[in-house]
Amino acid sequence: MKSKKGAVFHWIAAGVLLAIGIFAFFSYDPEIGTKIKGEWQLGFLQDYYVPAEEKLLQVEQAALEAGAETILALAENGGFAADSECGSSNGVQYWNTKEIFCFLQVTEEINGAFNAILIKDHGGDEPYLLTYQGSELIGSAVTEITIADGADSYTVAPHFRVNLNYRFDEYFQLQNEAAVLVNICKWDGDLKRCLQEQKLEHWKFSDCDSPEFREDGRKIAFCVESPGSYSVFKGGKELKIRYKLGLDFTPSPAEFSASSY
Amino acid sequence: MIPTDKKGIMEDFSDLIFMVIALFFMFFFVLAVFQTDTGAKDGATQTRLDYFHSDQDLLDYLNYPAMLDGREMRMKEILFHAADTSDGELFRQKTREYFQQRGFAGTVSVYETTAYQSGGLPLFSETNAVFSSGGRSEAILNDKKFGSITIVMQG
Repeated sequence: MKSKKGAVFHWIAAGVLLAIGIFAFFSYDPEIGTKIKGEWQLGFLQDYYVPAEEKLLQVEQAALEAGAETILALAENGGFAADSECGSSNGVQYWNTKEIFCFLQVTEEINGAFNAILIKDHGGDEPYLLTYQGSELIGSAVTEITIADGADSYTVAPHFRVNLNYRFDEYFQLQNEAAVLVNICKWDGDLKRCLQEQKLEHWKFSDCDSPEFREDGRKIAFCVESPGSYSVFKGGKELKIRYKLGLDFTPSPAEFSASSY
Repeated sequence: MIPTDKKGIMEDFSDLIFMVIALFFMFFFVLAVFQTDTGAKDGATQTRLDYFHSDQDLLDYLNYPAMLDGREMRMKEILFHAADTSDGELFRQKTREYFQQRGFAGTVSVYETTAYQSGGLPLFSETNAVFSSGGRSEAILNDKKFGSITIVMQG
């Protein structure tokens, strides 16, 4: 370069190139070209979100099955998850003694029966906190499900809300009907006649298919058909809901003495 | 410093013009390469997006509300009921209803999971498309009585 003054342009060009070089060096990315758009996001959806949704689907399916089995188990056991405080006889849970009525705490009984069935028969490993609303059973999970792979993880709470096409509120109707029946017939000397006259159509003696009046003292076993004609599907079969329960028509001494005055 | 040598200035200007032209062509070349690359990667994104939409369609299908004997159910319950009772007509009827309501074109097949894994035939299958070009998704559901079924959906 002969012209020293003109060399300034060369230095400017060299400076610009050097600046570009330094910038390129510090912002070097081995992946040349544009990256795949939404690669991480789509990978996340595919590897975490979709498997989690499938897991929730499975939880719901298990809840539906366990819910149907809970309905049947409770109905078979007079609405009790365990034994009635009023006692049992020949596998029939009694709803009252001569002194008291053992009114059902329906939500508690559902919790007891459902969780036992879910854990025992459906591979559930954690109990749920259950409530019901209309014909829907609502389960709040105690623990969450985490799908993790390396550094990333996705956590969902496996709550569920499933339609069982059945109302647990039926128990309240049946308890009212039972209380009325006991109050009417417990003083009647001819208990059989009284019950035949007073019990509602869906109340059957002993067995719903072949009703037969059997008296054990003044304790009577009933099979009550669902007033709402509810049924559940189990194994492809439609099973009618039938409640097995017993009522004690023994007059209480206190009431007897009170009514004697 | 202001250059006053006219010859030097002319040389520098010609260098500058040459450099600008060279940079222009280089930029043009790099842009062309990047454009092609972007097109290919957009395609890859679209394919993955199709897979995700296919998964969503399958989840939507399994949660689709359906009535059976006056009872409100979900399609997953219908599938187990149809499998339990070997009622292929029930499956086809409800699946056609889903196709119609959702405007879905494709195929849904239900396999016993063991049969699916060994390449066996489906329990039920329904299609309303001659050719399927969309994504394929599958899900496994378990039932205490029937066992495990695999649902495959091809959009």
